[in-house]
Amino acid sequence: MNDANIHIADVIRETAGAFDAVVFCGLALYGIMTAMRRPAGADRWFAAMFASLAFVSVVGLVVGDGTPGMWLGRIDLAVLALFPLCIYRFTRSFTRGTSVIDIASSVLTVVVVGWSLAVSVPVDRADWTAVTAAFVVVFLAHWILLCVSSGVYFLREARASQGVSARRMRLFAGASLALAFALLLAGFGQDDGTRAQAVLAAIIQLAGVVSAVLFWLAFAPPRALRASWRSREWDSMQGGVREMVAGETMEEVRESTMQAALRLTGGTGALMLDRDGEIAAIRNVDRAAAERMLAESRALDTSKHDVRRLLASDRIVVACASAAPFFGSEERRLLDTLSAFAVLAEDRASVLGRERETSERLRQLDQLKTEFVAMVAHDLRSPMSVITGFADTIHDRWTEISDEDKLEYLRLISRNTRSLADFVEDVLQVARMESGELSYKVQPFDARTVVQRIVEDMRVAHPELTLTIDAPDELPDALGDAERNWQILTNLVSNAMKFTEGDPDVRVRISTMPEEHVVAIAVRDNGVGIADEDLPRLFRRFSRVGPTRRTVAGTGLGLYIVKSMVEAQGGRIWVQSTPGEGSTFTYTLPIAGEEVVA
Amino acid sequence: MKVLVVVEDDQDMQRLIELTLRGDRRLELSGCCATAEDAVEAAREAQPDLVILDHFIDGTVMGLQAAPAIKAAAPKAAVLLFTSHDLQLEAEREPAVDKFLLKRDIGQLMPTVQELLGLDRAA
Repeated sequence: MNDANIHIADVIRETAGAFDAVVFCGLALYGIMTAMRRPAGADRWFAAMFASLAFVSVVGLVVGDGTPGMWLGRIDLAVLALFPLCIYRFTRSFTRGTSVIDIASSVLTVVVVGWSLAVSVPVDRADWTAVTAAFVVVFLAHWILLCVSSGVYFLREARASQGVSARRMRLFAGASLALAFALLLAGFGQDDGTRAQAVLAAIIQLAGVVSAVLFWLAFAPPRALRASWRSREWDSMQGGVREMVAGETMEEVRESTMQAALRLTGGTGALMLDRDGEIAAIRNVDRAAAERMLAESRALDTSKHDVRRLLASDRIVVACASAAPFFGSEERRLLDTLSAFAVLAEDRASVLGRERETSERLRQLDQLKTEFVAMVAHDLRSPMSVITGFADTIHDRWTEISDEDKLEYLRLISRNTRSLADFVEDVLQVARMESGELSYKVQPFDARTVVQRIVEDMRVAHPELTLTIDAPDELPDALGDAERNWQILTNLVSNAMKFTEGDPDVRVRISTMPEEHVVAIAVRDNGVGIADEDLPRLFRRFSRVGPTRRTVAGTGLGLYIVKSMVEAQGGRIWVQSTPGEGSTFTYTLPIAGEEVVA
Repeated sequence: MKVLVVVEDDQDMQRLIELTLRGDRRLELSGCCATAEDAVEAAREAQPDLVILDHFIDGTVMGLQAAPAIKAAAPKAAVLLFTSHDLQLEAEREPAVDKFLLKRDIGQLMPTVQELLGLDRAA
């Protein structure tokens, strides 16, 4: 080898050394500033790691070709021995707990550092003793083992991750492996002034340069580079935001938000929180795992990179590889942005939802109104047709029909006129009730007195009816409007009579239900009963039920009015019935003085 | 004699139709029923010349919807939809319905029945 080649190799080595010094000093400075801002485990070890490399590379640069003084050489070696511990502890800061290897590595580092300060390693190998050789072997093994294990750890983490953070983790793994390789070569090198030695030294420095560049790209990649790495995620996030904002329901918005969050971070599962911080939606995780994620995310101090396995924002929590948050601070900022968009999109979906509900309610009301008008029209027309038909018949065929038939027809005209009047009255009553115009004079009253009044009324008008009262001697006053209760009971007793074939036997039982603080009034008949399938629609408007729908006079509004009146007085009504045996309608009213405040 | 079946759930209206039809001795009222199922059965048994069919009847099937089944049960019968509701358009679209008449025009019931049965009004 001629001098020129050796010279070129030396220039490469010196230039590379200078480059390494600059990069490691820069990273050390960056690490120290970050650690001062966020004094967390990973940041401290990160700063220490590059401070040690910076020290060693600056010493190398200052000393140049010369041999450092004894103590500077020893300190240089001791500081170099600290690096593997720093990189290992940096790696371990992303996992919980302390392992035996952690303790062993710390002990080994103390031993190697102490040994470095005690031992003097001659430049010429011929001068090495067995102890010196043993020290070099231990030193190299310590370095290479810890650097390689960190590299392997980050390669594994990168495989479980995606996007920019995975790329940065791979760069970090590459850097630590390159550094281990450089040191391994250095262990074999010998400063004997030969060409081989000069080339080896250049290769070592170049490996150092590769490592420095990779560390730099892993920890502080330039903005333009980050932007180009992120372009795919950015595109998919924009698509996600578009879908999210276009979502018309909360479910659609949340689904597309979580999809965008997963694409952005390369996470394995996501959950979304509602305004109260409770889980609103989950994706790729089960409920129990989501609950654990939520509890963990609440305990996070995101200002300190203490975000193992989770990237959290106000509304989105993403499960990802352990170290991903350290390498994905931008992801967290983008998640914050995504959260803000999600809130807007949720607000929009909520307004749309309310609008849909309102319009559906209006449509239903409109349909109800149309049906109501149709039913009213039908129920007005039917008796009117009968009235005019019989009146015309009597008029047109006066001489043909017998007096007996004429009387019968007049009776039918009269009955239909009455039912028409009743119907109009019921419709007006419903209209008053629904517009809130029906007033109630609520005060304590004796239910037995009201029932007795009905018994008197019915005895005269319907001698065929057997109406009995069953009530205890001690009966507390009910709270309600006595007049409205007379209407309710008259309606129920009339119904009982209408739906009974033969002589009706109606019993009114008044009792108390102390546990509910109510008086219960039950009207039981021996009528035809009600089929099970008719029970649910019994209290609806125009719900004439059973096979005798039109053969029994009625407006189809009576029970609807009854139910509305009972509920307006704070009671409830229900029916029990057996077809062929009879029905029992029971309603309740609060006991006066014992009203339960809802 | 022309045979008729009346499908009407209002007893008073049934009575009135019966009374109106009594005005022509060539008409014989075979039966009255109140549900679509009974109407189909009555049509099959009586094979009437005319069915007077109300729309709002008892049961879950309305008159207009029951018309095809009634017509199928008694193919030679004419079907007159006789109801309080203005279902003129719907009746025209239903091939099983031959004529539509509102109950308020009950005065026209007899002439309409006679026309459908091809009977001379003067008789």
